[in-house]
Amino acid sequence: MKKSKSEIQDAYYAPGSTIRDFFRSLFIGHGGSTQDAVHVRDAIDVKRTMTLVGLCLLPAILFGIYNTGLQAKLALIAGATAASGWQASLFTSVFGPLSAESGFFSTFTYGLSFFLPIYFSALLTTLLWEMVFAKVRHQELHEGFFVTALLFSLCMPAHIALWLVVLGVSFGVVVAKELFGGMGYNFLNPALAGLAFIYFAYPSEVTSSAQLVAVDGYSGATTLAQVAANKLHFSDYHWYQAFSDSNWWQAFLGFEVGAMGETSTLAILLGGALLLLTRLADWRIVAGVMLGMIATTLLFNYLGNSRSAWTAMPWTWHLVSGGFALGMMFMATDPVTTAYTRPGKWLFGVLVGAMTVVIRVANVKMPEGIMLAILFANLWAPLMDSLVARFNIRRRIKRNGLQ
Amino acid sequence: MAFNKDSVAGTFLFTIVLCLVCSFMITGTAGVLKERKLAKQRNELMQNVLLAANIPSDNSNFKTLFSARVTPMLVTLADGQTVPQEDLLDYDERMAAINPEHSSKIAKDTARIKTRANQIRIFRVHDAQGQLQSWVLPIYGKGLWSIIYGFIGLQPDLNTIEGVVFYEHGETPGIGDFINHEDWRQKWHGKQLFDADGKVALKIIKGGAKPGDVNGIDGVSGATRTGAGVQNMISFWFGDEGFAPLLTKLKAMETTK
Amino acid sequence: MSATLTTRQLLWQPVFANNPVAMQVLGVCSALAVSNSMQTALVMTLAVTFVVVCSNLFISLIRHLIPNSVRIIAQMTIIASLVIVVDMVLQDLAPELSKQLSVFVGLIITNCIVMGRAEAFAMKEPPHLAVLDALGNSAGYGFILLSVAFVRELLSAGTLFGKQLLQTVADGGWYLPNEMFKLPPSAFFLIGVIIWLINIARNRQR
Repeated sequence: MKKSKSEIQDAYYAPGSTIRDFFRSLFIGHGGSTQDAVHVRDAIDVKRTMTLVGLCLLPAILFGIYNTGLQAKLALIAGATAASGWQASLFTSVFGPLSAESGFFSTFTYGLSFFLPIYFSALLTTLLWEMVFAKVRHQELHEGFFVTALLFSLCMPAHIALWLVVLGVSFGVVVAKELFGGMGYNFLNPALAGLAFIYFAYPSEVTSSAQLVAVDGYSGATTLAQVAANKLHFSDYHWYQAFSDSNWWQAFLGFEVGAMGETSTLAILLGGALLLLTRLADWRIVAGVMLGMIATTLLFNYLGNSRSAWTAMPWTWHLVSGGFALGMMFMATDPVTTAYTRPGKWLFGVLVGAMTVVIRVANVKMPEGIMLAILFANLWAPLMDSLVARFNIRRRIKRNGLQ
Repeated sequence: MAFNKDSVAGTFLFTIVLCLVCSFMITGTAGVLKERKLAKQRNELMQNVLLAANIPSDNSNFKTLFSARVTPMLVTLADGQTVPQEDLLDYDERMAAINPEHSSKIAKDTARIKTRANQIRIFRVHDAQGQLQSWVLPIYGKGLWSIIYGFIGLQPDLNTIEGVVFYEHGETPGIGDFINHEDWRQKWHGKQLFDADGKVALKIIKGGAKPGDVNGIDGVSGATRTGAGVQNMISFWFGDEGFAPLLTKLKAMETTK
Repeated sequence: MSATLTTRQLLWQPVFANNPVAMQVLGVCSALAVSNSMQTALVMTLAVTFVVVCSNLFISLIRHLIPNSVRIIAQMTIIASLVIVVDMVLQDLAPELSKQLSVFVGLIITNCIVMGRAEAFAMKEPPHLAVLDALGNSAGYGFILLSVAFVRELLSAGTLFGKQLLQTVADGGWYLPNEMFKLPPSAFFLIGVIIWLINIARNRQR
């Protein structure tokens, strides 16, 4: 006999069964939705949400894995020495050394041998913390940590030390999420908070270009690092010229150096489109981010054209460089930490986009702007909601002639 | 009549007594510490002058070294004349510089210090036989946040730098405070103040001076304005309103000796 | 109030249960600024202890003489004089440390703990209790400052009181210094964690 929803719920919340039930429910959904009055009867729950987000991230993940291998191969061709870490040794012992002749499959596997350790350490760490807090608080376990760990790993450079991954994701989950009450109560995106932590705590480890490519002693510079080092110039470069620029297409498709999951704007946009279609991410935020970014870039272009590579950088390049696309599609749209009202979402998005460009252009030491921009906007989101609500109240009072 | 603390008279009486007691407490402490503070200032002065003259010293021997090797003199900046003065080690240039009777306004204020003292202390550094080794001159000027105080030691040609020290500043910790780092101060040794035409040519160069550049000193990136402050104070103090008359006088004095 | 508080409570309550920094969130600005090393934290604690104890003692001694209308001014005058004395003594005894502490010694004047204790306790209670209260509160302040400084100095430089405990990578060791703990905002996290722990402990007791 099929159990009723309330019976399932009771079993789910029973002391001591939370963790066991969580793992059981990973494979067997209860499928029911609430039958009582005044509830939204929708089959979409946290599990389905998170599965969908994971699915939408899939193009970026797959491409990121391949690109990690590809960049390593290109670096080897350029004369770098093969990586000496255990990941590379494992790969070599199974598939033989990576070389210029390696085909698609072994390139992909090479990337996989770097992505999986990072993902699994992030996943296990987040799972561990979730379990500890669920146990202490007698709460159920949520599937959110899958996405947190996934997003966090995608922002990592391929050659990063695993203890940094563990430390960063621990900080993100514990300080940004669990301390404030866990799933649904966090005011900061946990993946980004963890990223910010290791960015500030170990700047030489995370931002150094040597970490970006999975080989030893080779520094591949990201587009942003190249701009910072004045190696790329954009004077008299109009934004539409990017479309006839093969470098830009390379960056758009993702064949460039960068953190594992953030290089391919195309793959992210594909996944992001699905996310928007399923309405898990609000299109207002994405549109707001784009709008804010484009407007601020144009302002900088107009005010300080050709003064430095940063101010002259057109918005098409801002779009494809760094973690902008990933942040815009998957992090700024995090349903918990953004504004809830529709005008608030617009405001939130514009703030993220504008701050990203301002941080990139004005703070040369911190080229990766979107991370800080989203964290910054996260802090403002409740205020925006409150302003919108207050404005609505005042308008309605006026409309009904109460004042 | 009983004393009423909340009456007007009572309030006034209380306030006056409290203020008197508190001020006695402060002046008392200051009085006790004054002599120690002066001694400390003197010691610091001696050590800094020795540093600028590039004479190695340590905590035990700097006093004897200073008295054996250094002669302080008070000079008038406008004409380079020596002024006889007692207790030169306690002479307070900073007070003199803001005292309208002993200072003059600066017309071309590149160091951004507004006024400078009419008379300053300089130090003649010689070996044990009295043979001139270097001159140590005080310099100061505005950096990014604060006035930077220092000494510069010149070799007898009054052009080549023997050493430099910046002993007091309030620049950004970790960024602008490179000016007092040992390895940066070492870079000044052997550099020349003036170019062939006798103009001040010393420059702090952002991104590093070229090898063989006798006038250039490496700047520190991120601390551009602190470096610029140092350069500006050099160009002020070795300009016409600074040491220029004094340097001519010193040159003449040493050649006639 | 004094009738119900024992000596022990006066001394111990402000350290944990009613900690001025963690529970009343007073004096946080100096706690952020000078907690980057054990040495500065210790000196700052001593300076604050001296000021709080003396100000509480003096104010309590003359509490019947202070006119109500100039009460706050009188407290400020006494505290400010004490701070100037501390600053001068510190400059004389430890010029290097005094430079590191820079304005924060002078800012003890505005440290709410000092004013708070003077106004809330010393104005009403006899001198011996006021001194005990001052000792307890400065112990609470010092406890927070030193525990934050302990973590910050150990993690950001691998040292304690300037002594190398964890060999850093730069010196050929294994420990990679955590740059974030060099920055004052990291003290926010640590104070937050301390508040959290104290709250847990208090809820347990109840």
